[in-house]
Amino acid sequence: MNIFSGLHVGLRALETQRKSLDVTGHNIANANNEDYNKQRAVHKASYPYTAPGLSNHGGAGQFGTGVEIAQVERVKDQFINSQIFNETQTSGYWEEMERGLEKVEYILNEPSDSGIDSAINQFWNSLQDLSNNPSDNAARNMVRENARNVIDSFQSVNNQLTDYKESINRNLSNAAAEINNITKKMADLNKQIVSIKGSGQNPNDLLDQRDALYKDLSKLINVQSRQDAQGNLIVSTQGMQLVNGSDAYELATKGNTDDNSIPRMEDKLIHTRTGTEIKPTNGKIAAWMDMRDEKLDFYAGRLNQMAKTMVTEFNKQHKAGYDANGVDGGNFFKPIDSSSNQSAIAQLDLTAAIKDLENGLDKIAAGNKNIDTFVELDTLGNDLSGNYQVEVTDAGGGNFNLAISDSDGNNLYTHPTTLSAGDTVNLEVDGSGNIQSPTTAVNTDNFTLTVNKAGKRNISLDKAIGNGENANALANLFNSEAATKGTELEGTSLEGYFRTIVTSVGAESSRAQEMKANQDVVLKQLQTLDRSISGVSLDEEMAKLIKYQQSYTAAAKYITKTEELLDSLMTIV
Amino acid sequence: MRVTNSMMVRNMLDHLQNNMGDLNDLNEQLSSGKLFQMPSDAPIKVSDSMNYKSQINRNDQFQRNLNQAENWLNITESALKNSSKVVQRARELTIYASNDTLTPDDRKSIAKEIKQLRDELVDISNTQLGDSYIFSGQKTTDKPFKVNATGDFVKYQGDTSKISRNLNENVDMTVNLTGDKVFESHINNLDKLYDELNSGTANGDDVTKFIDDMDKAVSEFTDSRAVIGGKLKRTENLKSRLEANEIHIKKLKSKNEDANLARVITELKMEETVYRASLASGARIMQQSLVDFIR
Repeated sequence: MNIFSGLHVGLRALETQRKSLDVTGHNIANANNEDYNKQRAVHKASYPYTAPGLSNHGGAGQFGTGVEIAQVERVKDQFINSQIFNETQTSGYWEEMERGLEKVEYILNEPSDSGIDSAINQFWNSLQDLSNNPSDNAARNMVRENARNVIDSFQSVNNQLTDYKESINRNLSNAAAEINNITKKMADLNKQIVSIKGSGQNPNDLLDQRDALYKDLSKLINVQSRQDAQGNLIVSTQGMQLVNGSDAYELATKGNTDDNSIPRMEDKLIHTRTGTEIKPTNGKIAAWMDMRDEKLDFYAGRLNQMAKTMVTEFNKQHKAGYDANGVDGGNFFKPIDSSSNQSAIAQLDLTAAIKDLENGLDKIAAGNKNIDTFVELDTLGNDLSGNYQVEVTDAGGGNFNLAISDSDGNNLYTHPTTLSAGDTVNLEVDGSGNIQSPTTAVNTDNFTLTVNKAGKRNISLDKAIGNGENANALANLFNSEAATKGTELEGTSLEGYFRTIVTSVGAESSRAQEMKANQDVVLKQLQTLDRSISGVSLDEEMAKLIKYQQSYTAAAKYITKTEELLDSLMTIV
Repeated sequence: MRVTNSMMVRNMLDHLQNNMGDLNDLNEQLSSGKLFQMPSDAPIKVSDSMNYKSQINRNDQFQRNLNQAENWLNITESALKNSSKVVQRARELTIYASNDTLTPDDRKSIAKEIKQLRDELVDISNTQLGDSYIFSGQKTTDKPFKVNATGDFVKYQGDTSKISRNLNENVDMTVNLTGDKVFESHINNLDKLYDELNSGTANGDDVTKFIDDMDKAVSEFTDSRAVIGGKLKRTENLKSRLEANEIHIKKLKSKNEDANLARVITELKMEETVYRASLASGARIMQQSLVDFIR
């Protein structure tokens, strides 16, 4: 140690304090950078003088040579960090699930005065009004218009669900591009980080950038990573590498080549290097795929089921009636072709007969054919008229006699033999309105009677316009559980079925909201922990600022004193 | 725990966000008056409300059906009342005409009035509600009876079918009476009486036979009026039941979905205070740092 070494100690101290002030300044500058992790200049006493050895003269030793900066380190808890990455994936999943289900709720548009439920209610009302005034064309028109409204409201919901599904596929290709962008940046960062680490320095800010990119990636898709000895972050999803060292492997969306639907759905995520399809299990993309492949299909499927049942049951009842001209009812809705690749809702339409501008309204079958528990009548499509009294009397032994009279009670026909329950009798009306058993071939039959049990009633072969009973029966299809018996909707009415769809969307959406809220809390807690450790505290940095400044001043004073020593020495000369 | 500036800012923002969210929920309740806007707000309640809405809608329709049924019954009742008057008058005339002191010419002039009464009865049988003939069964566009060009009446043109109205879940009521039962025999009898009186050969005894028929007509119209009266009484009961039901369901619906405004306003006021407090504390905390004290 000589007198000049004091200058070195002072100089080192000045440099170290100044560099520490730089680090503090860097911290202060990044106080509001969310991705920034606090850095710390680690002070270390520099190598002492002298090295122990035999040649050393006696006396106290070793002498310190001052201070130096060992490293500038990043203050980071890697365990919390990896938890944040994991929870970010789940958070991304529920964020998108919540948003998607909320969108479905908006699409269903319930409770409101313009959704499917209201349309059905209005249709119901108009059918009731028609049953009160079967001969009123205005009432018939309301039935047709409200039926169109029901179709429109079904199709509007269905179209929106389909649009939503397509928009998910667009999201998917955007997300693939974003992932590719991120992984490419990460690969570049890997390259720089490895070279800086190789030179023995800490690439703190680059590591921050890479962590931030990895977090963005985690939000989109479930990824795993490990760091190799050189400092490369190797990233993979579902076992497929996305980043390896300085190489990035792209994802792309692809449609199914077997799929002939137009527009062709680019609905699959492909790892381009291996050609493998990737099915993410977490992150936003997984939520989109679940939404698209499970939820939307499920709800659309149920709505279609409902529409199909409505069409089938409505047509069945409509055919059981007769129209304004006494002609048997045909189909009201176009029957659903289940072999078509169009959905039931897309096929929803009124038949051309009902839509017909001139005669369509007359074709609505509001009238109810005479069907009773003890005698059923089938006019076999013939246009008949006349009023008769039918009397079925018990002949004992489970047999019945059948007699038919005109409305004045004059006997027209007595069946020659006894009948048992369920027997059908072929009858014919002659020119003067008398009923007789047909003698000729069966195809000349005018109508048939099926006898069920004893009783007496008037039957009318006229299909009078004042009968609105079938319109009533049609209305009842919507709110009766009996109407859906034997269909996929069994156990609930059509209306009730729709309510269960709304409830299940609501319940799932509500669950997604809760899951997202929970996930937010978990993530927030982790982020608080992370910021607690790695965040910049201005108070702390201010204190450091004063600390380093004072050290700097003290070191400068030390140099001045050393200089004075030198001065004293020089004056001797 | 080490607390950093960004933590404080983030926490403060989170809390502000939460408070804002609560404020928004309450605001929505206040401005819409409803406890929920979306199915996810309360899935079961939404379904219940939809159900109540359909029930109210159906109830509304049943009340409309009921009003129509009442119209139909009232018009039927007044037609029957007028018919009663007609046959009463016919009965008086019959009794008068059975008097042996009357000459054939006297009877002929009575016959003219009987013919008038018969035509009046035919007219009454052609009563319409809107465009519908109420006594024609379901052949509502056909007149039940007509008087043809030669002055003879044409037999019943309607059918015997019922017209019924759906007045509540599973409650149907037949509202019509058919002309064949209510009018046909009486018009027929008046027609025969007219022929008898107009023949010029009828004596008192010939006419006396008809008094029984006229008595029967009077009592049958009275019976029919009693039937209609009974039905009207029933519609009245149904109406009050439907009205009570409507109030009941509306109450349930309101209980299910309407926000308690007093409560919401109080809560809103409280949330507002909390929000202001968090804003104020945020503003104070964020300003303070060691920076302020270093010169």
